[in-house]
Amino acid sequence: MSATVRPSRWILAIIAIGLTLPVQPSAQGATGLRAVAATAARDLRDWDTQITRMVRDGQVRSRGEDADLLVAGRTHERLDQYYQGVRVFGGELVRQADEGQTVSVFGALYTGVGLDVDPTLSPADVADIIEEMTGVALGAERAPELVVLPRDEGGYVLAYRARVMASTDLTVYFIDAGDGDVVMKYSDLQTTIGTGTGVQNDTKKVSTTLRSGTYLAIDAMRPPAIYTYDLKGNLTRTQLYLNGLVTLNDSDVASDADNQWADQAAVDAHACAGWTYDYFYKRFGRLGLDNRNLTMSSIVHPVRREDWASASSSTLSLYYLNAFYAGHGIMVYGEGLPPGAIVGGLQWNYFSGALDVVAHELTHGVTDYSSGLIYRNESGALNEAFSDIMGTAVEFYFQQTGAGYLKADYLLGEDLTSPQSAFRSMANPQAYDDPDHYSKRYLGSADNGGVHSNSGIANHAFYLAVEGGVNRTSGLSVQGVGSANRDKIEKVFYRGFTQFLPANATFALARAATLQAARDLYGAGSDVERAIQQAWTAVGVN
Amino acid sequence: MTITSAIVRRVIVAGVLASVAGLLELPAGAQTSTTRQTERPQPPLAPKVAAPPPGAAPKAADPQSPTPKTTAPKPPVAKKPLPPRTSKVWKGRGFMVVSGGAQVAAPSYTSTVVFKLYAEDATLNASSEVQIGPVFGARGGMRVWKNLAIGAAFGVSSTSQRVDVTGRLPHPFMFNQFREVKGTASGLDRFETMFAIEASWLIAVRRRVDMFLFAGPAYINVRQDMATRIQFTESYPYDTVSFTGVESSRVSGGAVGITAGADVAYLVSKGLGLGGQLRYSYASATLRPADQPATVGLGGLQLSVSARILF
Repeated sequence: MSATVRPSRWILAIIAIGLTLPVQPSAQGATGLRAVAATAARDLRDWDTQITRMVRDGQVRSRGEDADLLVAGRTHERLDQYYQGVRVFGGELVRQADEGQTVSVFGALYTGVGLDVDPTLSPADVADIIEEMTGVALGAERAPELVVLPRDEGGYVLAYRARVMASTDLTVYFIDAGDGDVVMKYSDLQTTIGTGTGVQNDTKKVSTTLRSGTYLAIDAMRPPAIYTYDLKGNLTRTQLYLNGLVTLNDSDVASDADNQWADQAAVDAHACAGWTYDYFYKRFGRLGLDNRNLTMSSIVHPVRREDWASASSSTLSLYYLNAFYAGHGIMVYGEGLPPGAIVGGLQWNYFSGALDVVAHELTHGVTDYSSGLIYRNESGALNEAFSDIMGTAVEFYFQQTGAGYLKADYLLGEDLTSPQSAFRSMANPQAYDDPDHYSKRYLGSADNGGVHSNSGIANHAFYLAVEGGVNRTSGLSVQGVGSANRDKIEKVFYRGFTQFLPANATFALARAATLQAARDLYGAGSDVERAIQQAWTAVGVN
Repeated sequence: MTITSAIVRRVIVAGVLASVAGLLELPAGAQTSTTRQTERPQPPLAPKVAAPPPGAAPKAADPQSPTPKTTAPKPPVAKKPLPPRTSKVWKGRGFMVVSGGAQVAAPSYTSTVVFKLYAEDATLNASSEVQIGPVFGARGGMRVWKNLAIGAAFGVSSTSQRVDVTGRLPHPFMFNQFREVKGTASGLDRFETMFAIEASWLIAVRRRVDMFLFAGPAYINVRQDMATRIQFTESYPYDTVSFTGVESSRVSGGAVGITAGADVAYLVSKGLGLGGQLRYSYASATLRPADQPATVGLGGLQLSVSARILF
């Protein structure tokens, strides 16, 4: 017989090869997703008919109808897909109508669902599983919902869906209704990081939250919620809020459409508040203002810049050219002046634009929830000094040491004005007419007994303990610990001022408290104790 | 039943079918192309003079004619040892081989993907090793000259990859403050398909064993998962991260390379040989995970059992 290959031989061989090919599961398996996008009149008529039939058959259920806020007369109805009475997760139709006439139908419907929808587990069983897994107990209103879950790899599974808010994340779990396994989960925490331009035209990251398509200045990534409100120049509303007569809501929160923020005041207030929280946490382990993660709220644009010329002097000094801590975790940042406007020979920018100012105000909150230093006379000066010290410490923590804008130094508020100036100097208080020695303290009644002036005494003590040097008044020399060890002096002052001082503390008590803190932290006779002792002595506090 | 066991079962079925094909189609007594000459019966050692027809008178001796030669029987020749079963010249028409086995080695590769995280560029460096996985193939050819055949080959492999990942992830709150992360991910799939034009040379090794050496250009196509993003967990203050895995996307591509190997078979019947095959293939393709180029080595070393049909 010839060796001619007959067709049957080839066929068998091909079958043989075919049978050896690897078996791969289909990407979609039996799951079918039918996308719907109907806008033509004929299609819409068909879909209206289909929807009517599907509603009658229980395949879809209307979730409700909303009026269109942008196009008058339009309504939008959402219909969820159901299979034997169980919602099909993700299956949905959206019907737009104009005066009752359907204009469009969009949606996605799953086909080929074939499941026994009788679950083995009850919602309570699943809640127990979730609690065991996450430690979070679900309330009655958060009971797991039975759904048909289309699986990424194809097919469907009967599962319970539950949204669980844990300490660091909001997670949606899908638990198999038969065996309790987690079949899918994802984070539902819609926090985002955007970028923004600060007051000095620098670029910062801002932690925001996406709600209804708009980015809000709500930082949900840090343990406390941090809000930045834009009061849009409504001073009346600002004051009502500060007095607890109105509450602010999402519409008051600073917002941005694309998360590329251009509101410089809001960017700096929001970012710097977060950084200040970070500093207190990382340096001292403190959980926010009250050490219990109190919500922090910053208010920007309490007034309108263009109204500055007609503002009263008190409004100008408080809401334009100042920043203050209003209690309850609320900070208000002055609006500054419009470009070209000059007060005191200076142009003034948004007050949230200086990191040391933001940290200063927030530190008032720390004091409020710790020593509670009474804001008058010596205790008031110590209150101010502690805010200056922490404000400067935060600046050194996040910025490069140097002179100029956005540099860390011992000046307060130097980033706010043009030409560059400052409110106070810790290195040389006398340069801003503040005392650098106890003997030169202000004893009058203005400014609550000179709280913003006499703070210079403690400020200078902090500076000398770090950097060393000679007090200009006493001539006494201090051997500082050096800038590389600045954190040690920061910890001493933090410990002394938040842990030891009473509300009506004096400078002498501040000396004793910080010396005790130095001994606690670094030992008696340590370089730190010596520096603290020499510094207070140099500024005349014994 | 697992996919692997299903595949093994199908290989067995395929082998049986191939055997049946060979048994059904090859004529009884037919020799495989490599044995046709060697097993041909030796010619008889009889005189070549034709016998007179029955009844014919013997011719008288013609003195004019030369004396008719009578062929004297030659002395018996010592029996030579059998020649190799395969002669130097293969006279069959062609062959076909199906094979199944494992991809035992494959080129590792590295890839780098930059992705956006917290408004900055995060970097993922992946060093991928292809794991052992099943391969299946078929090759065939037609003899064109002596023992040389020209033909084609087709092969598929299904493997997975182990990926060692290092990465730099930006801090959520600060620019230019990166967190280092490292970890290992597995279970990333890889499917390769190879088409080759091959020249094959048949060599007799033993009496019932022969071997094809083959080589040629190959087009190797790959469809595989590649890491595109690092999955991690983090918590405040976000100064460190913990690696949990990678996100991947399925990318595909192909390139022309080379393939070469050897296929040894033991002839269990006249038309069917069973044996093993060793094949090495290589090509270098540029794939684009997350739309960023990565050079990936394809192919590798494959060991298979094979069934060969000679015709």
